[in-house]
This record gives sequence, structure tokens and C-alpha cells, in this order.
Amino acid sequence: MMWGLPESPMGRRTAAVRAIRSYVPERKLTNEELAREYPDWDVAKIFDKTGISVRGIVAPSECASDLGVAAAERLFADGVATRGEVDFLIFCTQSPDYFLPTTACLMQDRLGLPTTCGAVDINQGCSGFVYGLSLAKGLIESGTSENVLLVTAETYSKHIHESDRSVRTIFGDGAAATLIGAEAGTEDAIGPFVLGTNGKGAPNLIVKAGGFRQPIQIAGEAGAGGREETPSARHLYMNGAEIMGFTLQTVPKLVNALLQKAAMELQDVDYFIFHQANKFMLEQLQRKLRIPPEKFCINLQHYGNTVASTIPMALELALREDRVSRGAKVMLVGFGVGYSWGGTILRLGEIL
Amino acid sequence: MEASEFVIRLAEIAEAPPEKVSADFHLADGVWDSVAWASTVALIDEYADVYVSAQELAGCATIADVLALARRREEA
Repeated sequence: MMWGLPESPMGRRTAAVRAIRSYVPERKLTNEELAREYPDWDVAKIFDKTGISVRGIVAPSECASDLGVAAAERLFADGVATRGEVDFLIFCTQSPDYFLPTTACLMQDRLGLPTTCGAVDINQGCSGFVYGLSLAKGLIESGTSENVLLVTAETYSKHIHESDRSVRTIFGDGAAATLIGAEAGTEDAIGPFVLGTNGKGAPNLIVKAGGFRQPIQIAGEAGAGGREETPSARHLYMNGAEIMGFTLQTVPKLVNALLQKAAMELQDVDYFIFHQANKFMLEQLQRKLRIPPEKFCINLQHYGNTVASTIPMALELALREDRVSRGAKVMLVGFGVGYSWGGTILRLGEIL
Repeated sequence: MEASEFVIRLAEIAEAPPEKVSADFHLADGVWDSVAWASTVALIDEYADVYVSAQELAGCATIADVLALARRREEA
């Protein structure tokens, strides 16, 4: 029994994922375009190394909030929820519109959510969806909220220098809107959670300039918006080897800790959706953890690595393609920039 | 994984020409960029279940050097 929430004949109050909709910007970057720019990498090689065919890329005037609003509008257009039912908005991004106000406050207005709706931004990357779920669960199961709209959106393309093929081939822009609601149940529909952080890894995946530690000057600097010949401190820097090492060291321990906390064995999990970083990294994790390939999601061909949105996008696709169904136990694992990581288990109910 | 397979797979990562696949292959003569380093970290993890840093890899000139690094870390 949860503290303060008595058992009822129907069970206790538990948070559950109700619906997911995603949005990818109209403009696309294909392997054919990339192969023209990097002549020593042909189309097949780019796909082989990344598992990605095409990435969404925002227009210069398009922000993460625009992608997030478009994803959320799909939920409302499909009638899976009304605007008035949403009483908390969590917006997970590392690309806010402004330093202030909170982007989620702007989105409350644009989405026509009630003024009685709570709204907050969380700044987290590849682990952001799992973190967002943990917060949504807390809000719902504490009785604070009934329906939490968790929106993840990112525009890493704005940070990427066109000459840096190691990141340009991988990252795509996109958003996902996930509705989490309250239901009565005898077991958790979301959880348990295992979360972790190691800030020592910060220098290995970073955009150094643009905050207050290293401001970008407004006047007379190419960094303020002009074109630079080579990557600078305002561009995304990724030490791929270190990120690979971190992932291979951390994720198996996370998976084992989560299984132990959930009192489950690996074979009890019906489907595994890890952060869709890139195909090669996912294959290494699948091999190392000895997860049967048919249970392991590798599905980033049409999106690329959309940071916090890869997990909900992959889950939406898995549901649409009937690779998971009601009652399935699905393990979600996010890991990356920070370093930050988190895992949880969903017991799927009816997801619209 | 046998050492001979390690050599072949690292040669693939570094895109060594088929006629030059050997432990003596100089990585700088192939494609030895950040993407190849990430793949090599994964290969060493698979071969010896150990983690080597990018900095350690930077000190390797040949495939044999990488193999020796993996073995040293495995024994440590």
C-alpha cells in the first residue's frame, strides 16, 4: 500500500502510459545528401555504420517547442485526450526557446491547456524520457495530477557543424508527446526505476558555448549566427570512443540492477527498447546482454538519434507494427549526455 | 574471440586494404578516425570484456599495439 493512499477493491492508484504521438520536421537529410558531402563515405557505408537512412532537420526558424506542440496536437487531433484533461505538462529539452520563461509555460498557452495546469521544463538528454516518466509517476501516484503530458523534443541539428560527420550522420530532430494517466491497478504499470548520474563524463558530449560559463558574444562573432569553417565551442562535441566505453560499462549494470529491483529475469521481459543511439552501439549492447534479437528494438532508420524522443518514438512504432501488445512487459533504458542514465519497465495496458 | 579474428575485425574497422590485413598494419594508413575509435572500444570490450579509453587508443600505432593493450588490460 502506498503511503496516504488506501487500497481499494480495484487496487491502488497507479500511473500508466495512455498514448504516444511523435512528430518529425518536414525537412529531411538523407544518406544520399551526406554521401555527396563526404565522398569517402558512400550511402551503404553510412547506413551500415549508423542504421539510419534519413533524419528530420528543423528549419532555421523552427524550435524544439514547435516540434513538441506539433506532436501534442496529434494527440488531441486523434481524440485520445482533450486539452482540458491535461493537468500537468513536463517538457524535456536541452534546446529551450529562451533562458526564461520556461518553455512549458509558452506551450501551455499554445496548446490551449487549462490555466490550472502545472508546467515545468526538465533539461535532460538521452535519458530524459525515463526521467520524465519517473516524475509523471510521482505526480500521479501522489495525487497531485490526473493526466500528465510528457513532451520530449530536441533540435541538435542547430548545434552540429556541417563538417562533423561523426554526429551529423547520427542525430535527427524530432519530438514525442506521451500522455500518462491514473488508473486503479494491483501492480505498477510503470516502474520500478533505476536512475544514475556521473558528471565526470560531461566533457565527452557537450556544447560548451552559449550559456553563462562561456557566453557567445552578440556583435562581430561568427558564433552569434554566422558560418564558421570548422567546429567551435558553440557546436556539439562528442567523443564517440568515450561514449561507447561509458555505454558498454554502464548499461549492462543498469539492466541487471533494474531486473533485480523488479524481481524479474531477463527472459521475463517481452521487449527491450533502449535509447536508439546508433545501430552499432545497440548491437554491441544486445550481444553483451545476450538479449534475443527478436526482443530487441533497433528502429532508428527513419528518424536518426532524436535524443530523449528515441524511446517513445520506437515504442509508438512497435505498437503500430504489433511488435508489442497489451500485457507485455517492456524494458526502457535511456543513457547518454551528462552522463545520465535511467531504466524502467512498462506493463502495457491499452495504449492509443 | 581468437586473436586472429581480432586482427581481421580491427583491420575492417580501420579499412585496411585486403592485401595488408596483418597485425603489423599501421592504423594511420587506414581510416583511423573518431568513428573507428568508437568501434575499436566496442571490439576490445567484446574481445576481453575490458574498457579502454580513447586516450589509451591514441597511443597505439598498429593493430598489434591495440591487441597488446587489450591483453594488458585483460590481465590487469
